[in-house]
Amino acid sequence: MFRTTLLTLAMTVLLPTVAFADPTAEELLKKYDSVMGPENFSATILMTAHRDDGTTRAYKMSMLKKGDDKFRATFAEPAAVRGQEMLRQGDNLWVYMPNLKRAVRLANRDSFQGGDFNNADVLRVNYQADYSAKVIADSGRADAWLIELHAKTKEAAYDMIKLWMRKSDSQPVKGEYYTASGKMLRAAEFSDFKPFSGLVRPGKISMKNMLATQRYSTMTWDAMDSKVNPPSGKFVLDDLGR
Amino acid sequence: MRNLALIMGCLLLAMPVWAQDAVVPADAVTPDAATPDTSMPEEPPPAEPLVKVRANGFLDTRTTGAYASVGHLLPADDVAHLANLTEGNIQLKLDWGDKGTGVADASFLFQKGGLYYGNDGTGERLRLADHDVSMYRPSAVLSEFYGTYNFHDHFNLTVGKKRIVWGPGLANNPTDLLNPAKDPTDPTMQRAGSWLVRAEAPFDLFTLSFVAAGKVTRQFGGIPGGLVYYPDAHPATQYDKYGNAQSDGYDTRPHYALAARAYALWKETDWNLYWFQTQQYNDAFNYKNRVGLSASHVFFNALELHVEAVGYTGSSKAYFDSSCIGSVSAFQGCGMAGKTPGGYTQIDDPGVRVKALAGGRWQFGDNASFTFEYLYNGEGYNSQEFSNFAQVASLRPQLLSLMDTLASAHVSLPGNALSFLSPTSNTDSGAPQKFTFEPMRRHYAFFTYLHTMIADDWNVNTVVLLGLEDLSGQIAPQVTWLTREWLNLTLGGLYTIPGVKSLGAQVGDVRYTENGMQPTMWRLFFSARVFY
Repeated sequence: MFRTTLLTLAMTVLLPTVAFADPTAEELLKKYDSVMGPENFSATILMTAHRDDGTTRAYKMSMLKKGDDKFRATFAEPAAVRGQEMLRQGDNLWVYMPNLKRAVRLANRDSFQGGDFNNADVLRVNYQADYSAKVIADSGRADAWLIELHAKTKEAAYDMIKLWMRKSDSQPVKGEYYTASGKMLRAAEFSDFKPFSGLVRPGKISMKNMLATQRYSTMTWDAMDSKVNPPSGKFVLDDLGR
Repeated sequence: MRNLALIMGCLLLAMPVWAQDAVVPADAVTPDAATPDTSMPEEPPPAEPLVKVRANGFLDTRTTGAYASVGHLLPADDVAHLANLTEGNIQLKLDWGDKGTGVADASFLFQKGGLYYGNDGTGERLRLADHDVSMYRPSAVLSEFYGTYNFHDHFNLTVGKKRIVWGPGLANNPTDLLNPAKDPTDPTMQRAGSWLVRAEAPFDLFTLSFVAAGKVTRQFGGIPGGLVYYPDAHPATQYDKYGNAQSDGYDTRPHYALAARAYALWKETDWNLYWFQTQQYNDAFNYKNRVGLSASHVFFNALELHVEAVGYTGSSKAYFDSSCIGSVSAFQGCGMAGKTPGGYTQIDDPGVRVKALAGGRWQFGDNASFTFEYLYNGEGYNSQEFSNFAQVASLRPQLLSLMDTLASAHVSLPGNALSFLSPTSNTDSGAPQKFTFEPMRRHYAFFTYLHTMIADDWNVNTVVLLGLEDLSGQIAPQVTWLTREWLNLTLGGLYTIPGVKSLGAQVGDVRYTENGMQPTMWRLFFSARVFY
């Protein structure tokens, strides 16, 4: 009787602790990847680059993803870049230039269409594969977890990332992206959370270029479907331009 | 092959029967990937239409000023010192579900050239009357016109005119035997392909392609009038000044190219193996087999290195017997004696030749890149052969006159000794280019610096082509202002680097470098391009 009472008491005390234990960094990264880069999806995205002089340039594109490492982006607007495509397969990246009628192999390091996102920000959303992470304390923000990510592959876009994820639903709300020396290159804010074919995620990301603080770019998801299963033939080099 | 356009039209019409939506819902979505939230209403996405047509293009007007020397080896008579080219381009793309695609890319070119100068016979500059020059005539260029149908994820068929470039070279592609040559100083100017049928089997990590291409034997206003074989009838308008029907290269042989290519993505590298057979296609070779390879890899996340090579036996260049080319009479004497003064004498030579390009592209990380490439042209002339070529080039006006005289008397030299004066050419040369690269020597270097999005709206591009044997070449700087999302303004130039004359070919008491033979010394152009 005493043992039963003790067990019941222990469970009463311990269970809430187990049920509401802080998520691990790995769990948060897994959540980030599942929200920002679901296994498969098709999306229509508008990227707007806000420049130093206050003017903007808008790029409309469709994006297709399959599995962990296959991305394809096709630009529809403006007319000057219509038909341009980018393909990522694993660590390989190509850009198809309609005026050359051919694809050229690229490194990840260029900015994405001259905006404030780089190619990897858009075409390489797989933080679990590229970064090791730990949750750290952030006295300034009680409503979010702060995780610090350090690159573990040479293909990772940044040496270090600080990522804030809401405690209420583990959605990303803020990111800071650093060089190895600790210099902040970019800062992102995630907003406009809404469902896309059942998947709730940020509908807008604002990326500020910290090296030129007057400029920033936004990416707005007009549509996204994470229930598609694109044919693998869409992710081969020879399909670009078709 | 003569009815490629008809076949493609039938293919496009038949597509609705086969077309299906290939983007199918997954049976199961990874549970972690979705976070359903029924509290937030969501609008259903609009249904995708089965047929989607997209149209875009541009209107470009380019005004060019040039200066041509009248004292160079090649005549300046047909070089317009002021020219305008206005191009209206339309590109249509039709998607039929996710299986079928139809593409058309057509340009209509309105050109006008004027201000011609020639040599008055004493070496002085003489203004010539404006005259008709074929390269400044209005024309239409059908760069691409094809349909592709994906019968299966791993098999598709393409029929029509398409530019297919497999090799990774930027300024030059030794393995591109199918298309009209591109301008190394501005590769974006040439988008024209070849008429072909392609069967392709793409997989995740490898692709097999087979292409059968037919040469355009006659073309009128951008529309092919003959493919693979010459039409039996001669074109009605082409007669020589004696009233004889011009041959325009007419023969009864087929003119085609076959290509097989195996691609693999292995160890983060693009690998290609090629086999070609060409028959009087874009050069003088008959039933010539060639093999090639190419590779491209990115190192340090910044440096792309590539190599591209093709190997074959024989040479399609014209070679000359130095004992026969001292003068027109020596030339004629050799011909009458049955000795070949010049021609495609090494076309069946068993010696192996290689054309290879190796290079790299460094991406600086601020939208700038620097590309360096070296081209080895295995069938290029050595110093003596190049001197012979330059000597014959200096005699070319007299030799053409001799050919006219012989033709009027219905006499020809034995062994078709003057055939090199009408070399095999590509009837469909594609879009007009500011510079055509036809390598005569063996060693070349290309340097390309490209910086886009400078102060957001400016692109700078400079290309240097250098012949390494005489250091002559071309330099082509270009600045583009992306004024609006729909308007680009470009100021560019092309300057001939004369090279080191002491390394050039001796003709009489003058030495000529390869690029120094060309009459054009510089060009400056301004272009306005409106996109829609």
